[in-house]
Order: sequence, then C-alpha cells, then structure tokens
Amino acid sequence: MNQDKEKEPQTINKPLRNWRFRFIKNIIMPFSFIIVILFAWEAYGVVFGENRLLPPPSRIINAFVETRELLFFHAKYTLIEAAMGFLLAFLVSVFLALLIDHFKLLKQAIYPLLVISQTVPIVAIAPLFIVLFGFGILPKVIVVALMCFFPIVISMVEGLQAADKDMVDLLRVMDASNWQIFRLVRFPAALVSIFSGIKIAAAYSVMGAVIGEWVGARYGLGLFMILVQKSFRTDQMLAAIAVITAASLLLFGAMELLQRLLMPWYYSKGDGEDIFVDQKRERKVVNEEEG
Amino acid sequence: MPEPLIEINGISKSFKGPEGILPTLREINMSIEKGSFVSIIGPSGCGKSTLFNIICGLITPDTGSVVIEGKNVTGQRGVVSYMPQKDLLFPWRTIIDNVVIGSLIEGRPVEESKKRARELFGVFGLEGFENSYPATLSGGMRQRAALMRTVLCEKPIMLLDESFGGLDAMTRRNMQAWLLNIWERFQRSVLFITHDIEEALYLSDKVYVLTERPAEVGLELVVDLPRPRVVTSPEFVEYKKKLLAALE
Ligand SMILES: Nc1ncnc2c1ncn2[C@@H]1O[C@H](COP(=O)(O)OP(=O)(O)OP(=O)(O)O)[C@@H](O)[C@H]1O
Ligand SMILES: [Mg+2]
Repeated sequence: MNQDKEKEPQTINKPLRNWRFRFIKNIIMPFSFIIVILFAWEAYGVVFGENRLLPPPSRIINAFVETRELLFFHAKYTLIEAAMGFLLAFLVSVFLALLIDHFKLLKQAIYPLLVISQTVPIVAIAPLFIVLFGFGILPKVIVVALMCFFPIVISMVEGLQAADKDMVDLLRVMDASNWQIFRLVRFPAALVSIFSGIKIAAAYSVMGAVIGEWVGARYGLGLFMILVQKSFRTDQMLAAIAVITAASLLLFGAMELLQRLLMPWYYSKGDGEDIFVDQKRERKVVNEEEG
Repeated sequence: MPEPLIEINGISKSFKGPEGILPTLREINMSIEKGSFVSIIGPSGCGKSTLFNIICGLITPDTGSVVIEGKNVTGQRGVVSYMPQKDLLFPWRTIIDNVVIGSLIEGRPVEESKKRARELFGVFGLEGFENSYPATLSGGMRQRAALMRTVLCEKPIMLLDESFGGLDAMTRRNMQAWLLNIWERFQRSVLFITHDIEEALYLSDKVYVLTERPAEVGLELVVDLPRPRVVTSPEFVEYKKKLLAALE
C-alpha cells in the first residue's frame, strides 16, 4: 500500500484554510454589504433631510426600542401561527408525498391540483377562512400551511424519485425489500431536496402568518402593521418589517441547523470534494509535465 | 479437476431499442470453477454488463439459464455479490456502515459484521477511515471500500464490473496486485469484466473474449502461468498475442 500513500487525501492543512475562507465568504461578506447599505441610507437622510416615507435606520431603531414590548407581544402570536402552520404543512406534505410516491398513477391526478392550489391568490381567500373559522389562530395557521406545503411536497416527491437507479439496483441484487430500499437509499437521497423545500417553506411561513392576520385578527404583527399604517408611522411599520425578517431568518436558520445535524455527510463533502478536485488537478499537472 | 461453480448455459438477450430489436447476447456459454478467477473481455457496448445483470438477477434472459452449485438460479436475486462499474458507496453512510450493508439487508447481526469488518480495514488499506464519509476518500480508496462491501456480502462468487476502469495507471497496478491478495485470502470465485488485455492476463485463470454485439464467446483461453505473473515474460506476451488476435 506504500506506493499508494501520495494518492490519499491530505487532510492536515486544508480544513483550517477552508474554514477561514468560508468564514470570510459566508459571514463577513454578506454582513459588511448590508452594513454599507445601511450607512448609505443613513447618510442620505443626513445630507438631503429626512424623508417621512423612508425614515433612516436610526429612526427605525428608535421606533423599535420605543415599541419593543408591543412588538414582541404581537410577534409571539405571529411566530406561533407560523410554526404551527409550518408543522401542519409538513405533516400534510409527508402524507401526500408518500401517497404520490406509492401510487404512481395518483401523481398524474394530484399534481395538477397541487399546482392549481398555488395559483389561487391567498389574500383573496383569507377572509373566507375568517368567516369559516373566526378571528382566532386557526385561519392564520391554515393560510401558513397553504403557503408552505407546496414547496415541501414537490421537493419530497421529486427528491424520492431522484435516487440513483444504480444504487437502488445494488440493493436489489442483494434481494432488498422495497422498504429497505426506501430507508437505505431513496429517503436519504431525497433529503437534500427535501430540505431545500423545507427551508423555502420556513422562510415563507412568517409572511404567511402576517397575511393571515392582515385580513382580520386580534393579535399579531399583521394587526400591528395595519394599526401603525393608519397613523402613518412608517418608522414603526419598518420596525415591524425588521422583526418579520428576523423571525423568518430565525426559522430558516433553525431548519439549516437541523439539516446540519441530520446530514453531517452532506457538509463533510465540501472539504472532501475540494481535496478530490485538487488531487485530480495535481495529477493532471504531473501527467502534463511527464508527457 | 475442480467442480464448476457457475454455469452459464446458452444465454441470449435482445433489447427493444428505438430502431427495433437490438440483439445483444447470443448463446453465451461459460463455466467458472470454484475458487477461480475468470475474466471477460470484449469491445465497449458488446453486452458485458448486461451479462452481469442477468447473472445477478436484475434482468431475465430471453433464453438460457444460470446454474450455481447445481441449482438453477436464473432471475434469482441475492445469490451472488456484485460490484458495479461505479463504486456506488452511499454518501450518507460512513465507510464502516457502507461495507456492512449486505448483512443489514439479510438481517444478520450488524454489530458482529462491523466487528469483523473493522479487522479488515487494514487489509483493504483503509485503516483510520472507518468513520469517514465516502466523499472524503480518494478514488482508489473508494474502490477498495466498494470491494470490501462486496467481499463482506459472503457470497460464493463476486462479479466485478470494470472495477479499476476509472483509476490512473499507477493506482491500477497496485490495485491489481492487491486484488489477487484478497482473492487468495478469501477464496472466493471472481468473475471480472475488463477492457484491458494485460489486466485480464495478469489476474485470471481463464479469459473469455466476447465479440462485437451481438456478443458471442469468441475465445475461451485458459491462462496456465504461475503467479505473480511478469507482464514482459515471453509466455505472457504469447498469450497477449492470442487475445489480440481474437479481438481483431
Ligand atoms: N435496459 C436496456 N434497454 C435497452 N438497451 C440496453 C439496456 N441495457 C443495455 N442496453 C444496450 O445493450 C448494449 C450492451 O450494453 P452493456 O452495458 O451490457 O455493454 P458493456 O459491454 O458493458 O459496455 P461497456 O464496456 O461500455 O461497459 C448497449 O448497446 C446498450 O445500449
Ligand atoms: Mg459495462
């Protein structure tokens, strides 16, 4: 095996370098860009005078500090609705995806309906849910679920079908059952796709709750925004929007974290592939030098 | 005279292609003795992988039968262990979890298999990579891991489909020598597909040459040379000429 040594991946130095590189790429870069924009915005207010319709960041921060208790009070409801709607969407999606995956014919029947369901403007039918289910939390949960289930179902169905046929065959040769093939290959192979759907849905969910609240609610950021809008407090409106963004990012981040926990192999791949590519490149260079 | 372990009797197979029927295999007969190393060599696309797929039960032949240890096992699965052209390690399982997949499927105790597998990581040149994911391994290491998975399936015969096709020449040389070690150590019969005449002669007790599609057995060549073989020896070159002539 000795002659093989130089072909083995060199794991000593690269992870560190990769880690630093990724920190700069994923953390420093986006944040510094946002900060630059915020400063430019603030500077605009200082130079040209404040604009009531677009108050500078400092005013928004002020509004946030002033109304923080009210904001958090409403945000709590919105977050609960978003989380519950998201969960409901997930459960429905798993059920639908398994159904579609198991009965291939059903796919032709259900898929068009799924797509059509997404073309219905939610704002238009949300009042209907209020009429049907009252002013409580339920109609909001339903709106969120309606917005979230689509990306999850699609990503599940397509993920399950995208499994490498040769991997499936490998297990067939071993006389594996359909359930074993599902558990060992098709489901793990679908996870990448499923998580993209889940993350899209998570990012939508808070907005869905706000839309649900917009048409009628007792509590929630949607209600808060309607109230401040009526009194032309754009600064408070923007503060609420900032909270919505933060809440969406929070849910998105939670799903990202979950993915990292459930799919360690997917994230260890980054380093591995780099090394692999590097190796091939090195080998190619050697070959070119030789001939 | 060792008894035949596998007999392939008159296997034919045609596929339905876009331009009508595509005859692929025609009346293939082969026999593989117990514990022997047999290679199949033939032009690209002649139907070698198709023959393997028939032997391992993935597709059924139009005519003919596969007989293993006297039993007709045509179309039956779980009888042989198979290593396809790609390594097909599952990226979501660590190497140790990948190599015991056979016992997992058969419902054998997995912990026991893992214990046995751990002892073999040195033999397969994978020491220290038990808990690594496949993506972090080099091409040669992945092939060895895939072979280890195949060996641990505990079947009397292993089908290896161009296992070293994707490797560079140096790694390939090492892998060949090392494969012979594994073969001697585990006493399995091996049926090996390759494009490489030298590789076939270096490894095999017997070489079958398939013709262009529709493939027939063009030549059955018993290689009667002591191991380890020297690829530059006159006898070796003599065999090489015979194979080259059959492939013309
Ligand atoms: N399921 C299938 N349906 C239709 N045609 C097929 C199918 N499988 C294989 N073929 C055809 O049969 C022929 C033989 O394919 P096969 O993969 O067995 O060749 P091979 O000898 O293994 O080639 P290679 O050396 O490139 O691996 C090819 O022309 C291929 O297109
Ligand atoms: Mg092939």
